[in-house]
Amino acid sequence: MSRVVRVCRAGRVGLVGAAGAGTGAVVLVSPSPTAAAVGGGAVLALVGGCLRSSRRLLTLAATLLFGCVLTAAVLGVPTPLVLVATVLAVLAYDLAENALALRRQVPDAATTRVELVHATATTTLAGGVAGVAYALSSLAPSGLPGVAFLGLLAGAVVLVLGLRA
Amino acid sequence: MTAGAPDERTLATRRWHGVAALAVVTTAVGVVTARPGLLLVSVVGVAVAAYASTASAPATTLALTRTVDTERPSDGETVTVTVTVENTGEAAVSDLRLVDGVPSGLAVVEGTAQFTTALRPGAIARFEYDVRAARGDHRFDPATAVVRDAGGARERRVRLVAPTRLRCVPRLGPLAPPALRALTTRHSGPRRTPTPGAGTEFVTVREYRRGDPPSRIDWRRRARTGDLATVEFAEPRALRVLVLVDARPVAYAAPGDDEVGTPDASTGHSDTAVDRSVAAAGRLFAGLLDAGHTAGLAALSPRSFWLAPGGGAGHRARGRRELALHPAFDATPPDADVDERRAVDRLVARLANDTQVVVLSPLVDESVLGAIRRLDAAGHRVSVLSPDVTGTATPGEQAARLERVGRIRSLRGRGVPVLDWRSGTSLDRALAGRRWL
Repeated sequence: MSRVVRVCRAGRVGLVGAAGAGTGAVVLVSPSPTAAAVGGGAVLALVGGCLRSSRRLLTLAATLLFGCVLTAAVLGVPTPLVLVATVLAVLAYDLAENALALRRQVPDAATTRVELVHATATTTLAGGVAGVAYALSSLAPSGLPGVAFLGLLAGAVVLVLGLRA
Repeated sequence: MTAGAPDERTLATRRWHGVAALAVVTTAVGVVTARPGLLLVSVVGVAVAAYASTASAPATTLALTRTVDTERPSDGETVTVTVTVENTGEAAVSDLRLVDGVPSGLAVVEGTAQFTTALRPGAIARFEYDVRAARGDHRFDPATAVVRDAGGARERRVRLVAPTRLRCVPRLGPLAPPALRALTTRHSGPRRTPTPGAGTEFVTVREYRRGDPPSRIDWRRRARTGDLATVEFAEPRALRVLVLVDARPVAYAAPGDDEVGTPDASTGHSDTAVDRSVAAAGRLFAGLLDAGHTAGLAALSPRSFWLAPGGGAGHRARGRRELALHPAFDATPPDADVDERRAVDRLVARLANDTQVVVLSPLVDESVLGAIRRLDAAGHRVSVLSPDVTGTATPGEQAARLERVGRIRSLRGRGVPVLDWRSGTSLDRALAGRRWL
């Protein structure tokens, strides 16, 4: 039986945005060649996942992106760069996953508006948290950023409570 | 039509679970390596995951209205469907995904029945798409709306009920019936029979018998020879015909189906054998009635249908309506199967002895062959018009095609005329220049 090949309209904005955010994250961690190499693999997986609408490749891409940020932080890439790269990595995963969900649920629909609203919400949340965390960490006189660490612990508690609920 | 009470379901998308896991790993590595940068990274991950876990389910205070530009379109007419959705609640709906419940018998030909938008409280969004009207009584299913919160952590699915109906009753383009078999009724009609009687077409001259009307006496011969002779004319008689549509699930096959006899459950096929048979049945029915014959309709289907042979404008209108709207002729296949033997026995019990039957069937299985033989054996003259749905693309299709050819031969061998109606050919063309008998 012949099948009609259909071009999906849904999710285009998210997929392009995800590729852009992923690439931006890799550029930011590029002071560390090792992190950049891991990030390059992540971007390849991300683009492959977007083209093939594969959630598996997307999960791999997200894991590699986080791996690249982690590597950059361990290898001493400046904290502001790592933080922005983290926000971009979250955004890349979020946009791509949302785009694939849209393709699955409403493949023929025009989705630009909801994708932009979604991207704005995620950017505001992740960016806001990163900014506040960085500002709090800057308040610490030296050594371990105690205030930020407390904030992290509080967040972890909220997470656990939320998961239990 | 406005939406009624929505039927709701909430679920967590779990899309942030991986981020939470990675945040925990990052925290651990940060603590071990004492890198402040890593702790900040994990703060971002933890915050996002915490948000996802605590996010409340989004509001689904939606009202849906659906309008169509005509509720009674003609066959093949393009109908524009306009769907309006309003956020009637206090909270914004940041991510709404909507799929309208287009009836399976209608095809969307322009635009799409899928829609996404974000709605502020009180905001209204509207979208349109076009469907091509097809025979039948089409009721729209509820629209399915998926609403997600801003982060996409939770989604709610609601079914928005907005009863909308399209009824399409095609006109019956009468078709001059091909040479029908010579079994006629006692009633006068258009069919010329070899039986001499009181018609107008000359048949023969015979010797005068006492009681013959004087107007039939051949007075010229009387003047010439002195003998009395009576002129016989062909007596026109009406045919009584039942048009029987094979509408069993197996007959919902269309050209290009993987395996003939496997109906496409998704339907939307406008060229299933049943669809073609119903269209042909309507034209034959109208053609027979217009020609002065008596015609009836029946379906070989679990959703059985019977319209006894009759005549007149009311009968014609009823046949037209039933062919369009009765479930037996629906565009979607029935769930259950039918016991052909019992169905034919019931039919035979209802049929007058002089009724001939025109069977419309794709002849895709052996059971229908048995049914036709049974009708034939009961003394009814049977003719078959068979829409061909077999293909040659795959070995399976080729085998099905060969089997069908075998069935046609078998019927013809038994004296049942079969007209093979190829797919992609109009009925008029299929009948042109063909002898049915």
